[in-house]
Amino acid sequence: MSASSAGTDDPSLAAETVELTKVYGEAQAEVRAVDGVTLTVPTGSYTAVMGPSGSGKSPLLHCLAGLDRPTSGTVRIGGTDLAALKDKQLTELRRERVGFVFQAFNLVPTLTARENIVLPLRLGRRAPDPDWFDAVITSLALGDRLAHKPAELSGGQQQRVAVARALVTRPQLVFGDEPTGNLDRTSGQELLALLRRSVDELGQTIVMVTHDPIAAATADRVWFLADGRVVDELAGPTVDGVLDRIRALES
Amino acid sequence: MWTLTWKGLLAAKARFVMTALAVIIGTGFVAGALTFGDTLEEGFENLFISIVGTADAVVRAEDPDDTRADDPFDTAVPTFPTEVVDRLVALDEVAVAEGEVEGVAILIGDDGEPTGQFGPPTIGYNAYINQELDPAELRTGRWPETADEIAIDAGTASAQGWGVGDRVGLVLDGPVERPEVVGTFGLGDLDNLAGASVVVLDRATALARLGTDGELTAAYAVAAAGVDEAQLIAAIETELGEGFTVQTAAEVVAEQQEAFGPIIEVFSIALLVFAVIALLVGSFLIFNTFTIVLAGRLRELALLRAVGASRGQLFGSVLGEAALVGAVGGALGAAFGLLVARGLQVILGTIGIELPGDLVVLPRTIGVAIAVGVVITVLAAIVPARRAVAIPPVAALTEVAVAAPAGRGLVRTVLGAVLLTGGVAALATTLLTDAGAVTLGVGAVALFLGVAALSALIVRPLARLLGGPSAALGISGELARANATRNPRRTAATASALMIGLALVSFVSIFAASLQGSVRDTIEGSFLSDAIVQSGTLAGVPDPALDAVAAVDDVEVVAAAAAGQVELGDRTVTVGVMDLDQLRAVLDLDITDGSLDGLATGGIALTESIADDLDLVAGDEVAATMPDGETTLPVAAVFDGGGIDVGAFLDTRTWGGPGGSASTVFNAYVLFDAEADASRVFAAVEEALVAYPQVRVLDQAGFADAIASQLDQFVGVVLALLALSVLVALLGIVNTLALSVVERTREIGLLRAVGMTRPQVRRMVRTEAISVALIGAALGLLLGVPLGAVFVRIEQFNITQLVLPWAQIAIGVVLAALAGLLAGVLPARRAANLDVLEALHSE
Ligand SMILES: Nc1ncnc2c1ncn2[C@@H]1O[C@H](COP(=O)(O)OP(=O)(O)O)[C@@H](O)[C@H]1O
Ligand SMILES: [Mg+2]
Repeated sequence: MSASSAGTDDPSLAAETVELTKVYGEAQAEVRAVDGVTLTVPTGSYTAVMGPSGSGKSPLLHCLAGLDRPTSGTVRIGGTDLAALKDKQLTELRRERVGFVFQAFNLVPTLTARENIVLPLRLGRRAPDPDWFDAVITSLALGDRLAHKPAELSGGQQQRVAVARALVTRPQLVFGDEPTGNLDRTSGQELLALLRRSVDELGQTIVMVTHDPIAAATADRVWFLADGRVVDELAGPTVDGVLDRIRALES
Repeated sequence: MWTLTWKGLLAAKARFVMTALAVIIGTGFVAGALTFGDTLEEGFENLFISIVGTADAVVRAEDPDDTRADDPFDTAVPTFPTEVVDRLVALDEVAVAEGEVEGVAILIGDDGEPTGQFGPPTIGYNAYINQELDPAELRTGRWPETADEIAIDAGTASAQGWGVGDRVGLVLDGPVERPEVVGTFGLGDLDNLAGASVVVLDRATALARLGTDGELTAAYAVAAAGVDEAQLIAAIETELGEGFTVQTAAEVVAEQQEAFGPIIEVFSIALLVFAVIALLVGSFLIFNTFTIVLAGRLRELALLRAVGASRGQLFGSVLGEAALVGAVGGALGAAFGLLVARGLQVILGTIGIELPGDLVVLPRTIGVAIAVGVVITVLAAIVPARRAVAIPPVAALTEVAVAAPAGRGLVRTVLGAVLLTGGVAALATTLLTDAGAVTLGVGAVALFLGVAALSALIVRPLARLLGGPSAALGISGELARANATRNPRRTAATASALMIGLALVSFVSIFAASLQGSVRDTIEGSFLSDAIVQSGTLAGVPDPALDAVAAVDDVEVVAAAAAGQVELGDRTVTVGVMDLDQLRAVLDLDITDGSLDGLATGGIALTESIADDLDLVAGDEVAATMPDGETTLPVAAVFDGGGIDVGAFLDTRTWGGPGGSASTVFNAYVLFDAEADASRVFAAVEEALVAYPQVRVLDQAGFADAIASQLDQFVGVVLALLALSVLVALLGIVNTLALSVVERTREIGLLRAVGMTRPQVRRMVRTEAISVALIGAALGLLLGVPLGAVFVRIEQFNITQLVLPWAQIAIGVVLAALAGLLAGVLPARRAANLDVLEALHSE
């Protein structure tokens, strides 16, 4: 992270925030879920976000992904200031420049796996790029599952379809909010490997919230959140390194 | 368990508003029908009471053909000499007596048309000598004293903008005259007698010109002090002897009420039919709402089961909910019924049928509305409730989405198939044999139920069929189609409500169009006349008018057609009474058996359907009850009755015996000289009839148009009422979609998160609404078109051709789609305005 960097059109930056604050409630009941966070997400980086429950990981991610609007501060994705966007433009940004993988319920039950994957493209009335589509499918090992409805897929397969959907538009950024949270260990690890490959082989940029030190250790770096602030950062994390930091932060 | 019921209701109150609305509309019609009937009954009772006024006894001459009192064409009233009143006055038991002569007096509006055309009676009677006996009370001016003066009822006066001092058009026994209005009057509180126009003439004019040859039609007597009703009646009966009917005021009122009973009943039954349709449509809506609401509460129900609630208790609590909604809906429906009844009064008022009375709301009406509401709602809720409480308690503990155990799909399918087959068989039977309307009716019900039972199976293929266009909308359209078929049963139930409306609309349209087509056909094929003179009122075409037409140059034949009723066996048949030669000259009947020659010697000509019904062929004899008594008529001929508006023809001489009795002439067919310029002669005939505004003259096309437009009016009223059932169906779509949107909140959040814009969400929901509506419309056409097509083949309707009014049906489909679009607006807005994050994290 280089908090000093303020360049708006820097192609090496996938996203950045300046003094990002998200407040819920008013007066007595006020909760500063995100409290003055300034950070950058370099293109091609893989960042894990950790922190205790209620530390503001999800609100930060939602603001970064254009799913929610900050109370104050700036969010830029690829140089675009999200505050300036109307709902329609924000929706288009989510559709074209951002991918999202949720913990659960990622897929539209009436659509097949393939239809779910190309959903953002169809919404924008765009045709998928066949080479890229094949690359994504191959890399996620979904080839034989494309005609199935979500109900006919295992939890791991469903999450892989969600990742494929997030990647299919070649977004500037892919966000994951505990994407492995509902998976068994094996499926979770498969998915993490896929995310890693998509960074290494496909050049994607990923920001992923996780509770799992093993998952965090697959990333390039880890941000530690507490009370809405980034309190620590770890580059080139290992499982032990992550656990040490967590322990240090708890004491 | 009652607390549970309340909680359940409050939690889902918005959802139940729609159910309640369906109940309100259905029960509203029931309450409206009852209120309307009660209002009419009481209104007429008051009216009759005030007409009889202060009299204790009413004297009339005995009607020689009393058995035929219900003959609508028999307008002649028996009369008696004025001396009868003097004999009454001479009796010790009588304090005062008054004679009355009543007849037809037609007021002509300033627009040259009769007031209250075709509708209410046009009555004229004499100014009373003992004015305190006259039920009418002067409002302005005075009673008439000369032949050039009249008094008119205040209702007609205000409707026409007339007052004392105005000269107005009046037709008695001759051409229009213009007497002066010297007074206006009302009956008690009423300005008007049920929309009838009433004219009071001075006594001498009334006696001379109301068609009674100086005689009276009724006499009223008031008992002397100390004489009771029985004594009075006995005294009068002794005095007058044979040939008179003497009745107490109460008897007269009762008799009049009885005569009006069937009219009131027709209105009430028609309304009740629509009430049943609305309730039927509404029950689909109620069924659906409960299914969906309960589906959303399955986990809660499972939890209650887990903590020890029995199935029966849950079932009871759900049905309790239904009963409450039904009761509230029924109570509000009773209130809505008042609006329906009032609306009906207003509508009838604007087409000239003003009915007496303020709305009469009996406690019984409210009770019935609530009871019907409760019963319908509970019945519609039983199946969803039974399915929902079958949830195993363990479902509360599982993580996966809970679904209600599916119903017995197989039983339903088999039952549906059996009903459908039965329905089709009934249709075929109707088509191939002369089974008639009852078979078709039973078949129709079987078809409706069969299609409703199978509709869940038809939804998918139908949606695929209709899906083509929606795919053009891109992914929103595809998702909409997928959503519509996601829960076929729900979609089917929602669509079925609309199906009923559309089936009836297409059925009625086909029937009306075919009837109009055959009427035109007949008029073009069988009517040889160049012009038709038609009566605008129940008084018929007066003789001088016929004479005036006959006197026009190049008019060759004026064939007067009177109408009467004859009882043949157990059937009452309307007969056209015409001179045989004239009949032959103006009507080209398609004779299938025998010959018209026999009419000259007292025979009757019957339509094929009546002949078939009574099992008669030419040469047979048939027992007939005629105005002058029972007789036997030889069947002279049988003809194809298609499009002819009477069931039989008689020669004028046969009607009422040798010489022929005068019957009201409703139509006169006029034949011009073939050489003459028809349009010139037509204009001359019109000119000759200027003095008779109560009749109109039409050419063939005009005559066909007049009949067609009467039918159009009728169809219009029916379609307007059916539109209400479509409205209920529309509520059903709103309801189902709103609930579906709630169910799919999370999915919509997801779609928004991955880039669906608000307009796309709106389009998706609206397209689903339109799809459901179109599925309903398609099912409706599937039912209505064959039913209509078979119905018009039923022989007794005399419909000669099948006309499928595609334009009208297409309009119906477009309207259904528009209804769907409209129904989708609110749920679509709701879906589009969901907050993305909240939606994503909803349960
Ligand atoms: N939609 C919301 N409305 C009100 N408060 C919220 C909302 N979303 C998050 N919060 C508050 O923000 C804080 C952090 O959010 P949370 O999602 O719990 O973070 P994390 O993802 O780190 O667990 C919590 O205190 C939570 O109560
Ligand atoms: Mg979270």
